[in-house]
Amino acid sequence: MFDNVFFIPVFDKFILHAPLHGVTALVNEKAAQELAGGRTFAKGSPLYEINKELSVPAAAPPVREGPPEAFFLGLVTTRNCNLSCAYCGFGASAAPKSAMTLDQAVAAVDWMVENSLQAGKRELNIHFFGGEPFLAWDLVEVVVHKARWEAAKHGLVPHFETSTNGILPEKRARFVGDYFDVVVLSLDGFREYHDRNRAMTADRGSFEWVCETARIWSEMPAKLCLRTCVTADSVSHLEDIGRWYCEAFKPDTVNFDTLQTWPESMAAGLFPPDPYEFASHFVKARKAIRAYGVETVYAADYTPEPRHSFCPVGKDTIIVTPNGRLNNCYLLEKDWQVRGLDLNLGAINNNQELEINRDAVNRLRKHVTLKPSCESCFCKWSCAGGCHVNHSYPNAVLDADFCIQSRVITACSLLEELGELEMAESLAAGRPAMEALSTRINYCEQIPVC
Amino acid sequence: MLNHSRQNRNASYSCHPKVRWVVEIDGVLLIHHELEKKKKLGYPEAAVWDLATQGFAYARMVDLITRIASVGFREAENIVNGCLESLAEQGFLQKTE
Amino acid sequence: MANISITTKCNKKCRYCFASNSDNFMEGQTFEQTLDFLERSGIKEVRILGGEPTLHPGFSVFVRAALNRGFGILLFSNGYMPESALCFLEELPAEKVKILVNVVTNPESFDGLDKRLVSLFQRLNTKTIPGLNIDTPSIQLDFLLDIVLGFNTMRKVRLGLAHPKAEGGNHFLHPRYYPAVGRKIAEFSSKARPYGVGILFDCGFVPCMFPESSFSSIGPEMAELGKRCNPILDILPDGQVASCFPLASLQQEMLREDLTDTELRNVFSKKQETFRSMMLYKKCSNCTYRQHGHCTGGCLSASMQRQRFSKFTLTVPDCQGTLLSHFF
Repeated sequence: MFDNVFFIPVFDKFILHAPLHGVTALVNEKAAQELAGGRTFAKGSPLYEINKELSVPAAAPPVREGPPEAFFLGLVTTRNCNLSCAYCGFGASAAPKSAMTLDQAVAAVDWMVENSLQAGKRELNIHFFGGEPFLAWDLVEVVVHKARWEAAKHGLVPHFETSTNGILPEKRARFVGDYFDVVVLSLDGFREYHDRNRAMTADRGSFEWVCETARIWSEMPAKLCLRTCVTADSVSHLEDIGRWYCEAFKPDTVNFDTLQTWPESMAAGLFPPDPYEFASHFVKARKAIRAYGVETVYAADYTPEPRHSFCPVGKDTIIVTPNGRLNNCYLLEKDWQVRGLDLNLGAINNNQELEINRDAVNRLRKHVTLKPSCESCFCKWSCAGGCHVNHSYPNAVLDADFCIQSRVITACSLLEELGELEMAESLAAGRPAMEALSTRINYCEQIPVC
Repeated sequence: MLNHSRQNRNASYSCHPKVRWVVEIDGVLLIHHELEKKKKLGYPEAAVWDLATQGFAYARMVDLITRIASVGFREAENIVNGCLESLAEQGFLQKTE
Repeated sequence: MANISITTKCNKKCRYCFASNSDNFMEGQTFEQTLDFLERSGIKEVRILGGEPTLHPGFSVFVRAALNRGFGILLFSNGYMPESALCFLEELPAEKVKILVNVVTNPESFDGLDKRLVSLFQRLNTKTIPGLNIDTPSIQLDFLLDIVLGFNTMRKVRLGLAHPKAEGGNHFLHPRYYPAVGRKIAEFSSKARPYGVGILFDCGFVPCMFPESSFSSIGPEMAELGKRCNPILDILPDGQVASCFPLASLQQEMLREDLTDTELRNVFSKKQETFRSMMLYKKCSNCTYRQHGHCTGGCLSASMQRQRFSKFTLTVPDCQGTLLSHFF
């Protein structure tokens, strides 16, 4: 009957979720049947207003058009890393020690300034990735100051974000705390998990150092996000981990995402958590963390603003690799190539100019809108199919675990938005209800509650 | 632009112990607690200040300034030396020769 | 306005406190000099603070002296006062004495309120204003409304932010959490307003911490919120005056017989001129609230936490050109 209207079964009720209409409501089975069946309602009835809103055709987020307008400039300063994480799929410990050249970095900043001005943006948005991005320290200094200077000249507000392992000298950590706006620091929970997952060497963990860096950044201006990779054995401790983060540090956000399986992680005996367990503990941890006034993030969670992509892909993002390639994703090229994907957008040429392939930009803009497997899923406008390389690549078999946890967490978020906190808790507490919710094929039709 | 490359030779510049600084969106604000005065550094001087606080050696600092300011090394040298000299004159740096 | 700290002694150990918990008591003569200062400055209200001011052995004598000279009293207490002080305050006329009770624990609900505080609110009810110093984003505020309605206190609650001492060392609310706190205050305000309960904001709040949609529910105080970081004059037990407690280590002046509050404030303002360019956030320098005069950039002491220092020496070598050629 309606387009992009989803019915999510929760116990004996349904969450009616119409993200493109901006409508979410908790309705009983009869109301859901009537709404789905196209019944007309008497003026003044509670369903009349909902029906009226749903009857207006709602537009999907527009697909980008025209010249590239970079979401941000990403700089993979180096693939080199000073940790040997057991689950690292970047091959960082064996990666070349080389870094992007300063000339390439400066060229990228100049391009981004121009692009931001042409797009009428207020911010000059630059993100650093690795390996460990701060191993190329001179490059970081040059980019930050060059970008700040150019921003000041042109009335732009510089904005720097980084992902980091936190293994850097105090003086540099303080630079980052002052000059950066957002720092995503990897910390895998308590010492036993962190040191096993994120070792410096075979016999030395990185826990103490990372905690010290987290303490420094807790007192500094940059927003601090503690990012935790959740595994099968750490999942049941998420609430305690969340509480500890909030008491030991001063994070702005805590990010829990599940381990991505790589040959390296399997070889290390690390496995992702059961998706129901993850969803359940995530929701409980979010409640515990919220009590500290801190936000909890799961990458594929519900967002009020509908989106085609939950990552940089499809948003004209220019991510410069250490060898001067311009990609739409910060993962390794070989990883997306084996999935039949081409996420390259161009390269920096010998004259230090960014050559961007407009056809590739347009192709990827369209690519993110084509996810047939997600068509009838209520998460399609928030999770948006997850990672384009790992979840929704062409001809992908849906990652059932990812879908299950994303659906349960999204449903709990919607219930919390509706003020149904107890129902959200109950949902996340019981496996049968989570299973009933998350294993449907089609959420566009209202199906009687079993 | 003045050529400062000669007058700084063999000189060392240290941060005055009563000087503090604050990173602002478009530069660095220096505060001299003893002299009760302040100075806002825009670019490229703000970069020179930061590179000095990070402990970069002079030669490397000049090299990085060439990239930040998109200038040749003589001009970068002039930027660095001019900044150091000016901050020393104003009491934010202590100069020893 | 001037605050008089008659003692640093306290029976609580709040982690955000500026005062060192010690047996410093203001002498009677100093208190009289302070009253003289207030009188010649045209100030009608004596704001008595601590530590916990009711622990001063001469507390009732001081209050009586101030009342006899025609001052009104605003007392800042944590509520854990000796029975003698409680009885004394019970007897005083409500139109002359207000007691601001800073609830130092943060109960999740009214039911969790300590028995001694319950007793205090019951006995001093209409003379009291419940308050909270916010040092964590995990605060719950609803219990304050319960106190107002349950004990028939004044129809106000007082909120303060825990600020850092300029020299550091105390726990404070990191400015990164201001927006989270702002959202909670906005929610609280929308619940409290229908009961005619308003919020008294202490210094250091900034407009950008509140959702713009909440400005009307917070009320007319909103217009002035961001401008409240001025020397308020905190008179310490030894008679020294500080601009405010957090900035006490920066400068103190003796309470001289020839100075009024305006003159003293000017002395502090002049000293602080150099530091006023520092603001709470990096983004303050191009913030529209500031540009339009709605905010001065938050608490100066909190802003000063952004100051950095490191020793460095940069040597300019004799042979720069030669060294540089290495790189080109």
